[in-house]
Amino acid sequence: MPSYLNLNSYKILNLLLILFFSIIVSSNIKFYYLNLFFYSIFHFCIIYLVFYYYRNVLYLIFFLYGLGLDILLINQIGPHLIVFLSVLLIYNLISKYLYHLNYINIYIILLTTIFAMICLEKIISFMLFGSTINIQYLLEINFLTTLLSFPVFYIFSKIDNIK
Amino acid sequence: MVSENKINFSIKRKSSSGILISFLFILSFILILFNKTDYVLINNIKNIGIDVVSPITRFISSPVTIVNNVAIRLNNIRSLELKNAKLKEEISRLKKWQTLAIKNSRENRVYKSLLNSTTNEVEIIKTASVINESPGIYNKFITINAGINYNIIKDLAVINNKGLIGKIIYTSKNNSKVLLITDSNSSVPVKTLSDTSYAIMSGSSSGKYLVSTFTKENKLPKVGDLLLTSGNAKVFPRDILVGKVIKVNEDNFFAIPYVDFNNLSYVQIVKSK
Repeated sequence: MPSYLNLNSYKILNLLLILFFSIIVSSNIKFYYLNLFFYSIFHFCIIYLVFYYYRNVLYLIFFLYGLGLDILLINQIGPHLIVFLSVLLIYNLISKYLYHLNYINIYIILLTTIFAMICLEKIISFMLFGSTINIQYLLEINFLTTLLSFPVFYIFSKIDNIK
Repeated sequence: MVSENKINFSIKRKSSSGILISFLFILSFILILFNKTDYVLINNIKNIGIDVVSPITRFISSPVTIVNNVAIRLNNIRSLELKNAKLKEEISRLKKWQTLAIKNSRENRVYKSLLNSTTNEVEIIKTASVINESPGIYNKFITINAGINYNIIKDLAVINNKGLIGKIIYTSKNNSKVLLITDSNSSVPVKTLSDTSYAIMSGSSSGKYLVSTFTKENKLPKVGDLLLTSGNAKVFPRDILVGKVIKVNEDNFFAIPYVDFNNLSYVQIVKSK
């Protein structure tokens, strides 16, 4: 089916990104942890695209997602936009040092980057708009992210095999 | 010759992508700056976000919403018998109150006409349905399907049959965003039913309770006291039910909101008459 639709792994990851973005911003989901789940997976998609499918068009894509998340989630512009673009830029600068790392180190770096992204979004939101930083929320989402990391990366690695 | 062309093409591509990246970064900082100064361009971008992007994302995520709704339905069916028994009990209790309320209402009307007093009723501007709820990761707000086209403006109060929901913080042509009273950025001036205690309530970080941020003359209410809007800030009309005091500390108190924020379907946008 993927070949019939001419879908490669990059396109599939982008489709997943659109789906998770839509679920996050048009949420009618009453379960708090399910919202956290989708928010966390969205960040996994972002970071996976940055690390394994880096290309310049991602700047434009992440700009639009950052802007969309900021407007529809916070009704302000800033946190997601800054964080998404910064992650891309930082990766662009340090990517040559990452090629020599083994898979465990890469896994730890990916996970740490997601933690840093989620925390930074909250901190920037607090600094710019005075949103409260809920420590319990940060602990919950980081715990959930850790739990999800292995199955999500496993599924993503299967998507990678689609040519 | 061919390799020279290739090199030139690659250099051109690199420089054009560099320009695009720089442009996006500059644009981001301009947007953030304008957002802080409430520039008109930002409002237009937000309008597009709410009016155009929201319906598309709602359509894409509709299968998940359907599954979620089915799960809620099933959960409700499971507890149907228990709820039925509770409702029967509540109906018999409310019937007694209804008789009393009718009697009091008739008396009130007579007293008001005798005293020639003004009424404190609210004017309903529009009844709207909730089209979107924030996932609670950042701010707690809902989006409703009424905007400037129905004379909805910023700072109008939003209620439902149970009590105060929040206030309008942003309006576009067809939709509006409502900041819920459970958000930590919201402030609601309240008083107790007996007018003995005045306070300002904000949402707690968990979003489940309301917490007092200021209490006039440090007169704290008692556990079980009902909280109504005091009308002091002139944003919320007077005497709308807000919540019930559940815990009183030395310098602040906690209340539970009357509105069930997990089951918001229809809301009313109101203002004082």
